[in-house]
Amino acid sequence: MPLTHDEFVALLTAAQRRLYAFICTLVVDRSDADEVLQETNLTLWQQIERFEPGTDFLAWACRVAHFKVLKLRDSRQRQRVQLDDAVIELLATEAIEEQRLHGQLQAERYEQRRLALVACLEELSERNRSALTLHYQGGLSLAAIGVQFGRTANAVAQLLHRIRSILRGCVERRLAETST
Amino acid sequence: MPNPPLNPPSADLPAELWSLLSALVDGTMSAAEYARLENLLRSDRAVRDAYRGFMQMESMLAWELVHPPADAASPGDRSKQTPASWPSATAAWRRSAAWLVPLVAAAATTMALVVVAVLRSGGPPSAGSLPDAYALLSDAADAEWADGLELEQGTAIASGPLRLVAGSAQLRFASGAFVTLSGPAEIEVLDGNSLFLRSGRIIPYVPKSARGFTVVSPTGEVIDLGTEFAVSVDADGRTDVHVISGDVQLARGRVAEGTFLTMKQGFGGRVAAAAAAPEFTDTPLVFDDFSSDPSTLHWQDIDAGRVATIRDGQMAIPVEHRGRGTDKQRSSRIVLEHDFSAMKGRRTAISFRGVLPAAGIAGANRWLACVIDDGSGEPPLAMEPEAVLAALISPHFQAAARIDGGSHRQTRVFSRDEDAIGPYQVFMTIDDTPAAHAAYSGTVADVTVNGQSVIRRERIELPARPRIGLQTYSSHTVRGRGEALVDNFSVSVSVEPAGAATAVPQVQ
Repeated sequence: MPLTHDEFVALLTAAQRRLYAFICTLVVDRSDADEVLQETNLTLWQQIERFEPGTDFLAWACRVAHFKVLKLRDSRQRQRVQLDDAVIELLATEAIEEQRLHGQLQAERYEQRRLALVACLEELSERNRSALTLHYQGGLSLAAIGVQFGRTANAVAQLLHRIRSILRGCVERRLAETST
Repeated sequence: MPNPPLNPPSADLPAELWSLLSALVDGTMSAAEYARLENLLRSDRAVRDAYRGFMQMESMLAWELVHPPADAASPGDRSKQTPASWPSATAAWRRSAAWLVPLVAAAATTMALVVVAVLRSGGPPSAGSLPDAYALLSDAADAEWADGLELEQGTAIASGPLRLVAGSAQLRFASGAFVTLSGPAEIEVLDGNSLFLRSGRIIPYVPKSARGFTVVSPTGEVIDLGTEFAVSVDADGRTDVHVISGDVQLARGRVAEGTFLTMKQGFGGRVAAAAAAPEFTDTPLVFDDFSSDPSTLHWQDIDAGRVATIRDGQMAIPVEHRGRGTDKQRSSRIVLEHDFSAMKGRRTAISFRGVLPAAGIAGANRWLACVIDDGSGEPPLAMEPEAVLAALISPHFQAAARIDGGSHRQTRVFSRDEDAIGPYQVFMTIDDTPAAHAAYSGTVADVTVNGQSVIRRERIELPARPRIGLQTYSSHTVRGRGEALVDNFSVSVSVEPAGAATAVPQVQ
């Protein structure tokens, strides 16, 4: 029996974050990643009836996203340097296979990690948080953030590296705490 | 268990890989570095796992930092935050999947039916057939379930309603949270770390791993911060929260240990879903003790399909309603009346008036959103076939009318600039879907504010392809009448299909 519309929407909603995460492993540029997510959602929407209930929804969604990524890469081939096709293929197929086999486990890990990250974001200093927000939410370039902070682009890059590394340390610490 | 791939211990990423990945995301990578990274990725699965872990974190940051989307601005930089930059215009907002949020309620209703069917077809479903078992029934020794349901200990619960008639039961959530139910109680498991408590009393026990465990009640959302607390919902939908130890969060407002907080039922609750002329209570929805951190407290009644959202607390929303053909009821506390009488037929028209209490506009970041259905019994959700009306009221966004029809909706947002006197802006925003796109391309709209025509017969021109989510396709700046919106406004929106009669719709 095909999915009802509501069921589909529920699955799609639940899959958004991790679908985006998958796309981000294949597409470094975030506006490209946004674009791919949009395109993927649209295609999933149009192809509801192709989904086989009982199989892993996210694995299916990732396959569609993978296809969209390849399309995007084709159109970008000459415009910018990117990781080579074989590497992208490996990264995508391994992740999809993993999702197909261990979807539930992956979902739990993702959620634990996400909750840890959210808590860690709260712990950041206001300045660090605002740098992150400018970068990730505002999509500002390093140079543009530099202007706001009175620093060079290079210094902003350093700052972001430091914040990332604080966050990673914090996330790992929290995950270790919860698992004991 | 073997070390699961894709979730590498990323903290001890080798320094070289760390610097390569940083350069990659910063866009400062040289050709030689590209080659080096590709080599590493090609040759070693562990490197690929580390890479995926790194990018997963990047994606989480990008995703989580767009919640909430635009209201976080401090007063100092509000000048940059003109209404034109309302989240609908940003990629971040689209990514935030806000367009999906209203759909969740509808989906939950359907999923509930599905899961009950599974449970009834006999015994615990196997893990394989139920990919999203969110909780297990860990103890049900003396539990008596509604409809004679027999649930054994160990039964997997995906999502859906559970009605405990008598006795008690315990659920263990995927997150590790334990919840004790005392009958009679009615809950719905929402996911591995949250549940909807329709009525009755529950006591969650939330270990660290399940921090963030959320109880959604008809009047609010209680988020646990690693603690023990009790939540009960009475027959009128009033929610009581008693914190036994630790503290819990109500949206962003906190309730400290040993305190007791009652959330009153809000407007529109318990209205029979199919009533032709919905009756609204005049009891304000009041929340106290909120911090200034803007956040959303969400109330909704899935059955009745009504949604109210309050930001930034301490705000009452007295609402009265004018039904079809009935007399207006007004008081100084009215913030919204609406009239759906013109919505029948091919042409859709909505009008409403509002009076904002001074308290509602004095501070920044206060807003109210209500979605009221037309009494058809259909939830006013996107993709639902019936029309709805929504109002957004804030210092920036004075009002929005939303028109649903078919599987799409259209929103018009009326706003003003931050100065009390001055121009304001009217946006046309569409919650875009393929169906909405087809339905609204080429339609013609009229908008009247305070009796003055603001948009006259504008053709809605959409790009060739839909972009899923809220999209703003046109905006108008209206000069010199912004002050009229501060405490009193009325808005009419009319839309007619492409190629329909040319007469200008009658507006208020």
